[in-house]
Amino acid sequence: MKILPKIEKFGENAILLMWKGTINAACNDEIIKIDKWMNTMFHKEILETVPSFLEIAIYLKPKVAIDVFVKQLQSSLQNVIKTEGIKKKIIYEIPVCYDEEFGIDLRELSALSGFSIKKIVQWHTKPVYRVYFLGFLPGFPYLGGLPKALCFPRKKEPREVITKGSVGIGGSQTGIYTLDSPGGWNILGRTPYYFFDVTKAIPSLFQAGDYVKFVSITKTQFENITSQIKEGTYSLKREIYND
Amino acid sequence: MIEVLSSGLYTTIQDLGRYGYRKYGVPLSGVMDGYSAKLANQLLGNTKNCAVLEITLTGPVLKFKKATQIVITGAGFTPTLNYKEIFMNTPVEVPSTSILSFGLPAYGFRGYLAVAGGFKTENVLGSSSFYKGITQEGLLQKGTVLEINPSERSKIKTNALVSVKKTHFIEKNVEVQKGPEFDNLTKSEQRKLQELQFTVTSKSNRMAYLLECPSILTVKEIITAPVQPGTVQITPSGKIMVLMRDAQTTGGYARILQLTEKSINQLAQKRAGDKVGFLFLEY
Repeated sequence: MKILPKIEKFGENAILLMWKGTINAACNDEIIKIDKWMNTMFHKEILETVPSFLEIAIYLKPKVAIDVFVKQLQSSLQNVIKTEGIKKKIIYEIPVCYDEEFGIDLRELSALSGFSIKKIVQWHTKPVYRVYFLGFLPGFPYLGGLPKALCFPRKKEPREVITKGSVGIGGSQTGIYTLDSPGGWNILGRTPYYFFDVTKAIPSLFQAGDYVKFVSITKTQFENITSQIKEGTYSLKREIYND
Repeated sequence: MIEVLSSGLYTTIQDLGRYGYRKYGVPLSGVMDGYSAKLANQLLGNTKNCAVLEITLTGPVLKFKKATQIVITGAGFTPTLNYKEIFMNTPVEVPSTSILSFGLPAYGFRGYLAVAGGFKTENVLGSSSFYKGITQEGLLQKGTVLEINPSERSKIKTNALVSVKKTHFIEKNVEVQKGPEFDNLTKSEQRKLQELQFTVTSKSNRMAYLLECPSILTVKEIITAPVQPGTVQITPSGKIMVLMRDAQTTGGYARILQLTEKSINQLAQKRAGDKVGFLFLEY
């Protein structure tokens, strides 16, 4: 996965680095590594970057000459793709209540697929999902690793409001609605935790390259955690690995 | 201080946008028509990132509790101060307890009200631009009292009217460059994009302008990737979607074109029923 990305202009003041292929963790590692490196190396030229599954958008500061920048980037990318990225990994354990009060599509999905609700929850809580990047909503993680059995089509008619904290599945993806928002995913449950806080310097809890595991909790636990969050006594469980 | 007596159709506080947080999924936001908004601040001697009021089609009614100086720019409103018509595009003295209203624009869609010193509202992640979920308010509410920053500059003494480029409001063609998925269109579809005119639909807002296309274009969806204001996408139903300032940071529809900054500003002045054509620029 040490392939040079294609560099393309994206309007007057932006550039895209584009990798070929399908969604995969190795490419995401490479994207995260190059994104970090660019933001340090070219902080004078770069306003901000947006990584995604197979691309990084580079938004340049207003007076940067785009053609000059592309040349500089091209020549220094050769060297950086040979280096190793950071191997530190964080796994967050996210408490989710899969009660039907919150998991408003569980019954329908169960009827549709023939799988019991229990089985659906078991499958959803099994994997360690990777945060590929953030988008769609502030702090919304694009998670990869959904079991094939849970890949259902999105709802035909999107709902006008999906409550903040709702955990859903759509196509081959799963994620958490970090704000109230319209949405077309099937909703399996809700987490009492919050993932976006505008009062913090880095407002999003998740960063690209983090991992997420969903842990099933009861309604009583949901309420307890909710009040602990209010009191400021709750802390999310997380494990850090350096491999 | 300014009291909002009525809110208007879609009135928000905006500055030049919320930069630096797009990788966390935070939309850029900021004034839809940067040309007109910057002009308003410039004419008052404000810094260019001062927060202004963005007015959409029907303006608010505002009561000024303190004397100040204002400039109104953008769409062709017929603003009145205490029921007497005032000029746009020039500084206007506003005595205490004045009432300002806007009328309907004869051309264009969005207007800007700048006050000396700029509006002082909640600053979230480095910007005052309203965006529901990031800022507390998504829209200006009736009854709100807006604060104004103390102005350090001296009063502007001029009656000179600035001549505003009318083409900014009436030009049909917007300048575009090819987007990353332009080549996924067939040659005949590419030609249609250059030759046809598209109609702005009423489903257009600060997030995106939805254009009716006389001929259905089909292009495969993509693996979710970065998008920005000015990105032109094709929806599954064959409509053309031009992303605007409140757009998401990533999206899954093919990105066929990219508007220039000047063209985003011009498109922001179009309303439902207006026709738009694409003028292709080379990279």
